[in-house]
Amino acid sequence: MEKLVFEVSTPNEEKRVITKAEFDAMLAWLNPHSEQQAAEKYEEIRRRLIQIHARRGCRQAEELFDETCNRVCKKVKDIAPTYQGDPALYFYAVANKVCLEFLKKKPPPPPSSDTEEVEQRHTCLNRCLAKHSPANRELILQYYEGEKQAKIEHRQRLADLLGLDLKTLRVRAHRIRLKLLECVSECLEQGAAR
Amino acid sequence: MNDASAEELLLSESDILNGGYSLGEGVAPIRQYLLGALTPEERQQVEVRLLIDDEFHEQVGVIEDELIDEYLYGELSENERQKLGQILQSDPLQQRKLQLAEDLGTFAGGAKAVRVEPAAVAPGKDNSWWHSLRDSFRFQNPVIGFSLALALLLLSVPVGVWALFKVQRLEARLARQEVAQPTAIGREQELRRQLEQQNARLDELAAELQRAQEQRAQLDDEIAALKSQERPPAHATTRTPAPSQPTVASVFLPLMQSRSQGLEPTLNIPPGAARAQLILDLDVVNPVGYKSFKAEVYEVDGSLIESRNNLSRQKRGGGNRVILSLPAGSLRSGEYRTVLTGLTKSGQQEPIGIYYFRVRANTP
Repeated sequence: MEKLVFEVSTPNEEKRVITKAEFDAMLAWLNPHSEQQAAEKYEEIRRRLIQIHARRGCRQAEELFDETCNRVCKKVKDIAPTYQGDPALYFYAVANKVCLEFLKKKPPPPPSSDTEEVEQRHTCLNRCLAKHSPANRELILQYYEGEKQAKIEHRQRLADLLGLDLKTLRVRAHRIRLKLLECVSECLEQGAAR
Repeated sequence: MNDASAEELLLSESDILNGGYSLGEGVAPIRQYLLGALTPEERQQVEVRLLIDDEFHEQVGVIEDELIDEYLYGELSENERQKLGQILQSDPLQQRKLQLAEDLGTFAGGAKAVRVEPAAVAPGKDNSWWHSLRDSFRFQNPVIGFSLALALLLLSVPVGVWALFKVQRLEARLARQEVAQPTAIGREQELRRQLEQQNARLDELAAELQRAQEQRAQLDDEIAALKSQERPPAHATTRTPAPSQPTVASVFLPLMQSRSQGLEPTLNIPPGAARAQLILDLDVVNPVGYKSFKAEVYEVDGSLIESRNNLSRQKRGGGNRVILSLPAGSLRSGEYRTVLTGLTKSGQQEPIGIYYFRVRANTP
């Protein structure tokens, strides 16, 4: 198996803000034929790397991705002509290094969950549920009803009622939950910004 | 989590696509990944596949949801709970996932989610306090000790009676509250049911409005065509009949509309209608994941009326839809259901949903 080793910059090097040209060059590397598809691929890479970072315990996963993107953009003019394979893997390798550097620092303590914050979350969730169709709302709330064995049986009945198998129902619930997560996160950030 | 070996990418894309993912297709390695229990090389296999394999990425998301739910409801082993707890508390995004799961459980009125913090292991207590207590009752003079013990015994009787009385009162109050609670819960459920019916009615009205608008557009076209035929051309000596305009009856069918008596959307088929169009809403279904769709229309008794393969999704009214057009004459007044299936990119048939509707065929 051939090993691919990437040289990436270290945090001791001089940091520069990336230019629009550098960012555009990175997008062109992702997809030289379509700007729209390049932007979509960039967003998908961003979303997945943030999730991967978050699961590793790299706090501030979004900020870490920004640093990853900065470094990739600076290197793209050197690597793009000869690079073979999915650029997402290059992003991944750079992201690994960034995450390691971050984990060496002591992470701040997690935020506490006080009553006001819980209230705000519930308000946001209410708003976000209201944006879904009644059927989606009902599905996601029915999906979480009950406990243990009763919950499992309830989900099977729900799947039968909707004409789905259990696997498809799980995926459907997951997609609704993802949309709710994005919506609630946005709502909370807007609330914090006020 | 600190992993020096992750500085190199050990696998290339071709390795992954050509079977470089060696952890197997089951749920277990994904759970181990999410619990942070894989070796760095194994974790890298999962993460690289996450980046390039869409179906795997979604599968990991589904299993992560379930793991978070198990964490919340105390269904993980102690070891798993400790590991996952650390990961969930260490990043704002993971915390938000946990909070959302907690809040959904609260809204659903299901099991009370108990976020159990890893308990501190209490140091083994010695029984020195017991010895101290026992020693404090040792008197040089046994008479004094006996008198004191008798006094304590006499004092404990009224205290015990009072405690028993208090417990009985509390139990009675609890019993009264338990009677009242189902009433409150029942009322809430009733209100929720009414709200659902209202929302279902609103959906039906929206669909009827859309149908009415489409029918009006068709009627306007017909009127315009008839008007143009009223004025015969100057040179004509005989009137030639105008070609008839085929009418299309449409109905919008929302996804996952549960079947409720009288609340299914209705397809009104006017006399002379040539075609009937079923507009099937895809809603949260990700249409990009499917190469094509198959729709089957059944009567309420199970008879198959129409089956159509290779349907494609269309953008209509701001959403993704599948449109099935069939001869209007094949539908009589009555109840029907349409079963929609998607053909995935890997060639598998995946059920999407059942759409219930009624037909009101207005025969001349």
